[in-house]
Amino acid sequence: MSESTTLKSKISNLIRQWEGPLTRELLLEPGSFGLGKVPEKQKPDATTTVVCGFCSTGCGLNLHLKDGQAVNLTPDTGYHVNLGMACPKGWEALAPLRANDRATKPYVKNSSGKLVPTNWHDAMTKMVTNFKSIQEKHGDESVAFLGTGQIVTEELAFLGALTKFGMNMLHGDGNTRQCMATAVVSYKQSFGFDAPPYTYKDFEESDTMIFVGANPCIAHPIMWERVHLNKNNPEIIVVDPRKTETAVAATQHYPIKPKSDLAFFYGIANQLVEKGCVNKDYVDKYTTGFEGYLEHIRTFTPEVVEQESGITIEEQAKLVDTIAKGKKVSFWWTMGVNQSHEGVRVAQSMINIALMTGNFGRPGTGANSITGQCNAMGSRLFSNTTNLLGGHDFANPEDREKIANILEIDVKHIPDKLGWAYDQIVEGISQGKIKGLWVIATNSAHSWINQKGFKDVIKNLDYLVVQDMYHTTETAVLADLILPAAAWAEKDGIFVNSERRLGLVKKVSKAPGEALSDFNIFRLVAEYWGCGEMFSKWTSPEAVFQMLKECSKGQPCDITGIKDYQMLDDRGGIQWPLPAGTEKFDDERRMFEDGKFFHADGKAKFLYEDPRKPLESPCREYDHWLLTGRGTSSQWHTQTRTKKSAVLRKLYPQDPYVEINASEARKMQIEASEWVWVISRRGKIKARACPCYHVRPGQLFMAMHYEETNVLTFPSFDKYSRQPSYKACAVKIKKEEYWE
Amino acid sequence: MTAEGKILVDKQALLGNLLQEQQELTAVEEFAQKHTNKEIPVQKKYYESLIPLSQPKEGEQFAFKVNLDACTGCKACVTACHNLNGLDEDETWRDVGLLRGGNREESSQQHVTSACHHCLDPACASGCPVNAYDKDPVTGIVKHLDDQCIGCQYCILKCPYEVPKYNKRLGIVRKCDMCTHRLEVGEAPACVQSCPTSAISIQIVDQEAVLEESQASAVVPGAPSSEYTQPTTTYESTKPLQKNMLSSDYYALTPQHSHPPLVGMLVLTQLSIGAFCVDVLINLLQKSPLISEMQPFHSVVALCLGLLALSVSVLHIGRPQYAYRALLGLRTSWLSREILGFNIFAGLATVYAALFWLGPIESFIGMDLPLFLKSTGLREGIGIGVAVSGILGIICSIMIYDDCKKELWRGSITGLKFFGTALCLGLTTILLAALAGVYIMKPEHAVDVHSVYTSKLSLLMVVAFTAKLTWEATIFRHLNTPTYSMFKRSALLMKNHLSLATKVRYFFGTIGGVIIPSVIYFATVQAQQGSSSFILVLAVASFVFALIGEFCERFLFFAAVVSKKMPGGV
Repeated sequence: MSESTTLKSKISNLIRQWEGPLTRELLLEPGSFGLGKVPEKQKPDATTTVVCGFCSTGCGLNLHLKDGQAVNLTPDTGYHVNLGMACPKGWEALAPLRANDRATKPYVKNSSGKLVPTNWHDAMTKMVTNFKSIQEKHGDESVAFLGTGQIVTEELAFLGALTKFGMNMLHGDGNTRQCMATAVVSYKQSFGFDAPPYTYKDFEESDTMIFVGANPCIAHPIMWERVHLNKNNPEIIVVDPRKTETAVAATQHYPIKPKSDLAFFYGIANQLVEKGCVNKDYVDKYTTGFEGYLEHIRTFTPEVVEQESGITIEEQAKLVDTIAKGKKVSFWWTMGVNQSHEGVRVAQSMINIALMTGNFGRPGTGANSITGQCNAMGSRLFSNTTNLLGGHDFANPEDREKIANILEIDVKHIPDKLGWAYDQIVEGISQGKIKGLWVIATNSAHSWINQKGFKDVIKNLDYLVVQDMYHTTETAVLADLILPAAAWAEKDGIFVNSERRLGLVKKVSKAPGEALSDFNIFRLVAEYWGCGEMFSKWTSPEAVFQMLKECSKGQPCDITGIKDYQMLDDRGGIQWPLPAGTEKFDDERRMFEDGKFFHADGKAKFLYEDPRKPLESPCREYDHWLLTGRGTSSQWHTQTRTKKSAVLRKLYPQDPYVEINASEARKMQIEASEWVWVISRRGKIKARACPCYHVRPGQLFMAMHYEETNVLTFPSFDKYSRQPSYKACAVKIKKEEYWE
Repeated sequence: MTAEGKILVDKQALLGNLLQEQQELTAVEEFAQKHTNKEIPVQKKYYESLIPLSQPKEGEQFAFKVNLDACTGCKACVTACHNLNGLDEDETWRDVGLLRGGNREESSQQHVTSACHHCLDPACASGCPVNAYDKDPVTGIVKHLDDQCIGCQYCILKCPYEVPKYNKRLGIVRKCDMCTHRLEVGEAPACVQSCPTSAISIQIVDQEAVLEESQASAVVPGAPSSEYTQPTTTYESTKPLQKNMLSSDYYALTPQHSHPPLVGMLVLTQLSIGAFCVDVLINLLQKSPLISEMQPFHSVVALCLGLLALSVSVLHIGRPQYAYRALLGLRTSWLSREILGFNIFAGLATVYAALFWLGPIESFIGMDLPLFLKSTGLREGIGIGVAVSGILGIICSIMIYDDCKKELWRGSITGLKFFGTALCLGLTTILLAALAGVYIMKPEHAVDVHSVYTSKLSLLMVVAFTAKLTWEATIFRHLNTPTYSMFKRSALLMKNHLSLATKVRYFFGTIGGVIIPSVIYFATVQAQQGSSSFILVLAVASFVFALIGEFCERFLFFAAVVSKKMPGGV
């Protein structure tokens, strides 16, 4: 460029500048690695696929790396789960890692009750000393743990093994109790093993999909993507008291009364039987208990069902017709079913219909539980809580022997009975039987049902250790000791998604300060506890993975055919089962195609029971049902992570809100956006009114992400799964008076 | 070493190892790299059908198309846009709102994703004083020239769809450019690439057809009328949207940005211009030796406050070093015109003020100035010029807001407010200046000042302020109407969210503009010999109170404005 043109362009730039440093801020450049254009300032020098750490969909995220450090991400185009898409949480997955309230050092409560930073040696010494002295005084069982579905499988296994085999604890459970226990128990009872049968391809292949207490549009947007890819012009049916986003997108919606689901499905089954929709061949060959079931559902006539559920006889007939017509009918449920006082039987009422109509083991069929957390499925098999590592039985001496051999430990270290469930541990604390508690990657002081009760109860503890990536969670601030944990993408390991797919998490970001991966924290605890020897084989997540493979051998969840992490990476995740010796296999597989179930007789069981009234339902004083659920796709559970992203924060309401039927709101002169009181027998909270027609009169809805919501919920539990019944309790709503 | 000592060393060694290992990133070495050297995006197979294969022809342009049936409100598009464009931490260019409606029988809801509509007649561009917007002649994409922007944020007020977003770090506005550089190479915009249900696509639209469509319509229910800017985005749905569909934030009133520098600038320029005008008028209407004695002082006071106003306005600009570009938009931008108007005003006012001080100036520079400068005719002429240019400047200010096409900023409303302020504060300022001048510099005129200035000005103030306050207060009558009009919403904002400012506005306005001037009036009428220091204190109080009142009025002007917009969230 000649000098005169430079000068000219300089002058013209002064007048109208088309390019320059500010324009370059947003410069895009080809990202290579098959990415297309990416921001120049974040242009990667390598990429790698990591499974998302929020929900159980298990999307593959393609992390853009610069010197090994993740600088950006895009959804992985080739991953079998998400086909190049992600929800806002996935897109923003790196933001929560950079939050300034990350725990970067252990914190210990000082003499004036304040949490102050300390070093690891001090933290470990205090933890071990305190727990050991509690155990000396009150017995080994007086220290318990509450785990999670948010950390990798190898860590869950380590936690379960360390606490139960090394530290002699008996009681330990996970927050998976709050989301998946019902599905686990219903599958275990019906199939003989906790085996969600489906693969996501079934969303694309079904011609009739029945979503029950599930709102995939918001809760699992990527599963909805798969529904959207369905070419069969499917009937999409939503059974949910509330007109959810999914109900809006569906072709049929049945707004049953809260807690009438069991009667409803028995009634639908009854009419299907009468319509002659029973696949006798399938029932005879592959199931047991059908006769009793037939007898049981006979009393659920259309009239009874209308009475119970509020769905008219004509509407019921329409649903029955639709199911009868469907060639590939599938049932999908989530928390609306699981979080119920009789969720196990409700789940089985759908399993029963699927079995009875022969909608099982074929493409696009099944009774399918959509899971909640990213590694709930890993926890279900390997957390060593509700079963011995790999779906084994603590009570079975052979199983104990097998696991002891694989882990090379003395079998006497393995307890021969199950520990308590979450609610029993909380009860144990209140009765003074549990004195020490170790909470890992969960936020009980926000999420546990009847939250105030929980906060009161844990005051009885002598020592509370919270292990988390933030030192500010509602639970961490109550702790005596906080252990700073590395987060998702700051460590290696495996997540198992809803469709049983094992996928990899990789260390692509440096943990802040002295935060350590949960895996390494467990190694440290083992060393300080004095049982380091027992875990000398537990040197890395991948080493543990090899042991877990051995544990799964011969089980329905056999994964001995997966060679190593690299194989998982190459295949874009692999679903269990994959026994050793499998030569060729599909990337999307469903179970029970051969009709073989895991009970001793190889058959599935029809299980049923009379519906029971919930322990709390609306009365004259507390005259509304309170329904709870997910608010938006940009919020995750107690929001410890999602609220750390400035972008996600923009995508959900900042204040807690309560949806109320618009005509009721008019009668009560409650206006949109005004603050109202929502009051239950447990407490009272303020929320912004959101009048709409999506909830029926007599019902309110609140999103679970706001701390306020669980102040109201009523602690009742499914008797089989011990899962809390978050979805319904009795409340009243009242205008905020001007003096309040 | 003792056994215990050894255990401690072991523990410390393990801890050291773990901390070190935690910081080692080895994924790149451990796992095979996929798609090495692959420049063609693998994602292409999913979005190929969602973008046009060719460039728009004459009379056509690119436009967003949204399939409402497919949009379920997951908001992936917002985050994808954020990530793939490398925006700042809290910066987003796309929004997803929610429409809700229905009745007891049937409830309905519809999520609406939107970004820039790349309008045929972009209001952002016509308002921009520095021509920082460019509507591409081929693609029709409305591009923002980041390096040209001075950060005046007028486009934010102008765009009815809230598209341009201010970036504080850079001091400029940025906005969606439909991923121009991606489209150039056959890649889809970030939002199109990322929608799990393929709800967003790019299409080629006929501009004439867009123009026809935009008559008396809105892109979605509740959105601003399309006539104003002729947005090109098409929203398609097989299900007709119910009539009573309301944005879910319809009743959630939120105060808008109050733009403190603009509040200061507007009130003070109007004060200054009002003071000049009042002074010139007094001069023209009355002949008194006192007036010629006082004018030099008055003009300097008015000038100083005017210059202060203009310097305050610079605080509003993100990149004031480029403010000189602000005249480029004269052809279309009222902001450019206002800036020009006020510069002429400031220039003339400076000359005018200087003309009163020729004596001191001559002695300061030590030479005689030409005689014609000293003629009263010239001074009076320039005085009128100052008043006229000032009034033109205020008209431009009014048009700046009128041109935003917000009901509450209509020219008639804004005009009454701005000229009202000019009159009210002009009177107040000259009253104070007259009294202060007499008190400080010309005590011998203590009696005259009351008959020439004080009694008349204070009476006029009572009338002017009473009229302005009363007229302003009429907005509250909308509180009792059933219609949820923009006026009602604004009144609700003032009553609830902004009640402090509202109370201060009326309390201070009444005291400073009505009560104190009444006291002054009676004091001067009844006691011609009245204590001038007492009246001066009253005048100071009146000035301060009235000024605060007007600042609050202007704060509310910005903060309580409500206008139609794209649907927002819950």
